[in-house]
Amino acid sequence: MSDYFTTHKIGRSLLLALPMIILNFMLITRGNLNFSGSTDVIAFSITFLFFSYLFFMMLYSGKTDKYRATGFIVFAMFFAFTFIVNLIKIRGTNTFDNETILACEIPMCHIPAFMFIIPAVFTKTIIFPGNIGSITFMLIATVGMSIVLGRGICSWGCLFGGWDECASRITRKPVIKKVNAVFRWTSFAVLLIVVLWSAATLSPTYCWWLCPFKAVTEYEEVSSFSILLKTIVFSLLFAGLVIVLPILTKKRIQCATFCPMGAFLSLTNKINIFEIRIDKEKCNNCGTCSKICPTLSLSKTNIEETRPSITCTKCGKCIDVCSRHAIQYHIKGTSVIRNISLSRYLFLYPAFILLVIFAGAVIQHGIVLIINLITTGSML
Amino acid sequence: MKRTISILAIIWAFFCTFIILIIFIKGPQFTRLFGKLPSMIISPVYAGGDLNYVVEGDSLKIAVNKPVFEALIGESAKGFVQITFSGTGNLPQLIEQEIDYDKDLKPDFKLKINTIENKTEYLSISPNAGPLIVSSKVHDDWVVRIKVRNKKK
Ligand code: SF4
Ligand code: SF4
Repeated sequence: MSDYFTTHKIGRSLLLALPMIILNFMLITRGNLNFSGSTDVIAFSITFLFFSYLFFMMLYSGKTDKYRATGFIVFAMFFAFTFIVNLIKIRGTNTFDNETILACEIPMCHIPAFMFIIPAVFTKTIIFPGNIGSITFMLIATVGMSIVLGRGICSWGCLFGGWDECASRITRKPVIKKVNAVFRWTSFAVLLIVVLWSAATLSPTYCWWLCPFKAVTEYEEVSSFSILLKTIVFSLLFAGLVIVLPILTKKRIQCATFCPMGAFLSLTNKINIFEIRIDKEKCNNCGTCSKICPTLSLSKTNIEETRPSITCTKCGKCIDVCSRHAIQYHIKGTSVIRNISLSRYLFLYPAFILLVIFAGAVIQHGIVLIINLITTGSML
Repeated sequence: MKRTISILAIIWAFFCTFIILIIFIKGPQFTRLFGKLPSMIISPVYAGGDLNYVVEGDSLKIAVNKPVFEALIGESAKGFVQITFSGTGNLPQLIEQEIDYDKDLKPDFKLKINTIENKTEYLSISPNAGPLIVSSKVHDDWVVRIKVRNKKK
């Protein structure tokens, strides 16, 4: 129990959570209190209470990961659900075809951003068949988020990370007990290959060929052998890396070993002010944190060096399990033994805001769709 | 010195909350601002290239784009040319056209498109015109891309 961060006092926890609760209210309503009916009011109330409860509990219990993961997983599921329903509303299907590509109407998430860098430098263009306004916004948001949170995005803001996070929590004990920490570097190899391949072909290679999350968003209509091959590739990657291996290992295998955006964001951990640190005085080298880290970021060497590898996603799981309270959120440039609670609050605020900004609207919309389904028999 | 760095770090960490808020609240303004950067345009590989010339008929408008030979550095030996057919009212059921994509006053290829049955017959005339890449309805228009050879290479 991380008593170290625990207030255990409802009043104090409420007071500390109050600014976030007010922000929740503003972000989820988006400053608009004109609800168009009781369905909207219900959806807003559930979403607002859900996020306010999660943040309050983080402060009250002193645990971060359990409440973060709940919001993050619910977000990933609702994102896939609302995304597919919206596409079916607009296009009649969640597949895309030549028309969608030629019209440059493929929606873009944050993941392709790294593939654009080399082509943008040399050709002064963006290699993606999407809407330039949405792409510009996604790029600004990705740069901004990585400046503030580094790879924390992968545990607090990614649209898809909740899928392997969810699978990794299904069993109580791992079937495959040890995954060598060296596998955390394979995503950097994928990053290098994808960057070079994208630059050479001027195409977002990862999106076209490898993204496992096509299985829960949109994918190309199978009209040729090469598209069939792509479909087989992403389906197998989803089944293997996002579902089966995370269940067997209790690790976020897709994020830890494969996602090139995860590797790219790891590099931004270097310029980011927040990090995880281990207090050598308190640590007794029990290795619990190393076993539990879902992204293979804490090897024995990392514990000796008192910080996780750059692949850390700042999920807070290691902090929560450390019985000696030796691990904590830390602000670079400050003392490791002082300001521990302050560092945690200052990290939790931007991180949780990111989660609410992305997940708030999505969950609210998803609840509206579910209520419509129950009351009218249709979501469309 | 250590104390100053520590205070500056805490101030920066405090401002991170506001940075996240500003990015998303002021998102549309930032998008407009950064959208003006020279690199913020969709690659012609996807957008189809710049307009070369337009032929306007009674019921059909044909927009022929400049060939796209986009490569990371310089131009590639092979590219494509995009032709867009737009109806002045509805798109005609049958489009039959010879296209001179390089403006040398000789037809380079011939297209016969049945827009209702989604069938395209393609005949290359010039040695620079390669196979048909794609022929598809795009909103109210019909778009065709043909592989072409770069004469400079
Ligand atoms: S590693 Fe990739 S998929 Fe996983 S959370 Fe990060 S960006 Fe998202
Ligand atoms: S080192 Fe700790 S905070 Fe970082 S990813 Fe691993 S468990 Fe999460």
